[in-house]
Amino acid sequence: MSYSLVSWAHVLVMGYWLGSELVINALTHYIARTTSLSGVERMRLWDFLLDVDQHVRNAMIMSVPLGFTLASMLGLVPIEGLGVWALWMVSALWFWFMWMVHWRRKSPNGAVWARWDWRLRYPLIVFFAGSGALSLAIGWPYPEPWLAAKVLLFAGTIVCGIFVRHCIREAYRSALPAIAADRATDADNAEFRILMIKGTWALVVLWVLLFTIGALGALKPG
Amino acid sequence: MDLYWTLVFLHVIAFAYWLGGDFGVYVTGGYVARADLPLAERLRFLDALLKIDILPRTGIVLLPVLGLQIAALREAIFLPEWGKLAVWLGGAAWVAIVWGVFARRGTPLGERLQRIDVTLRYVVIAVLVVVGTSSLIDDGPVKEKWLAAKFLTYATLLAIGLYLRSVIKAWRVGFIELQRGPSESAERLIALGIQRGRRGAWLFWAIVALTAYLGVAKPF
Repeated sequence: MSYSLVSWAHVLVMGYWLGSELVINALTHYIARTTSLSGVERMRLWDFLLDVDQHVRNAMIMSVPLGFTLASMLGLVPIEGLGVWALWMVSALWFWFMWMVHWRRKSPNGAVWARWDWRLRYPLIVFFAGSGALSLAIGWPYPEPWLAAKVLLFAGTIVCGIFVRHCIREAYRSALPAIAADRATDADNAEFRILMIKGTWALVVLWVLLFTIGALGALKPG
Repeated sequence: MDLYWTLVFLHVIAFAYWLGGDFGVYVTGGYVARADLPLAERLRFLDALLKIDILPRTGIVLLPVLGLQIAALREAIFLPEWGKLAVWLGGAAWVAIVWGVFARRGTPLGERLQRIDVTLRYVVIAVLVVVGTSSLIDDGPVKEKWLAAKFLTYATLLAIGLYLRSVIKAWRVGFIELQRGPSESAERLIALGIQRGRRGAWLFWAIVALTAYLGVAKPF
């Protein structure tokens, strides 16, 4: 696999990530604000958003093995050969798990899958934030500060993802059942709108993080 | 900050919004075509689609503006200082036209701006094809062959964009008919438009991916 091919895929994945976020942002306000819609329509939009969110998550997971493979090719991470293959296998497992969580979300054990999805993110945040911060402090495992900062900020994107999940979970616990059953009160709609606004802010932070990650990769400062 | 890499970063961001925005148009388009959904909901998706579409339209204009500055910095083309300024000003004017078409859609001014935008695209396609082809087969103004090839793929993308625009126009005609009442011919028009649009989008993405590969790998 040549460097240029991986680099190309890494750039394509960034486009895919930003674009999927854009669709979510463009449609959220229809569900949150168009209270005149029927419950069926609002839930259809909601499911559509959750489907598009899968593309965001696809891109997030794919960017990990691609980014580390690029860094390995440049000799910037202490992973090579079998280590890179192992990373791809683990990422493939993560990818499979993420899709199972989505497909099983309406099944009786959907909540269990969602809980494990949530739990998985904490060690990932610790790993990316920890290794990024450690590298900025002592220059290991990523000797280049720009790469260390990228990994650290990537942990921030996972935090944003958790916050979005939190908003989704709160929506299921509060206003969504009433919206789906066409019995949403003004208070339900207001609560739902506030949750969507909070989620949108998390997306704005995510965009800032992604732009910064992109700039660090292109400019390689320091 | 290094000007060259800053421009490269912005070029990648414009590319990301172009590619990603088109993906957004693609997924929302699927709902626009669904005859089983209420008309109001389909129109809402069409509205969202048009709102998302403004970003790829902006990206497609910014890409050559940034790309030409990058090419001049790496001396792949000769562009004097006044030429660089002209490219920025021309690009800004073109972006203003694109946003004017979006903001004034459905008005006579919007229609006029759209005609200007389309004419501009034909001119740009012709210039890119001539410059790209001459540089590929002989010593044209572009000194690096991969960049000359990018001129040609970009011209192709502009042409496909014009085709997709005509497809979206067919949807609009279909929806105007549907607003008068249920109509099989309108549904057929919309379904055919979606089918054509999807084929166009797949071809578009393949060429976008090729264009990105040429820029990243610089293979020849």
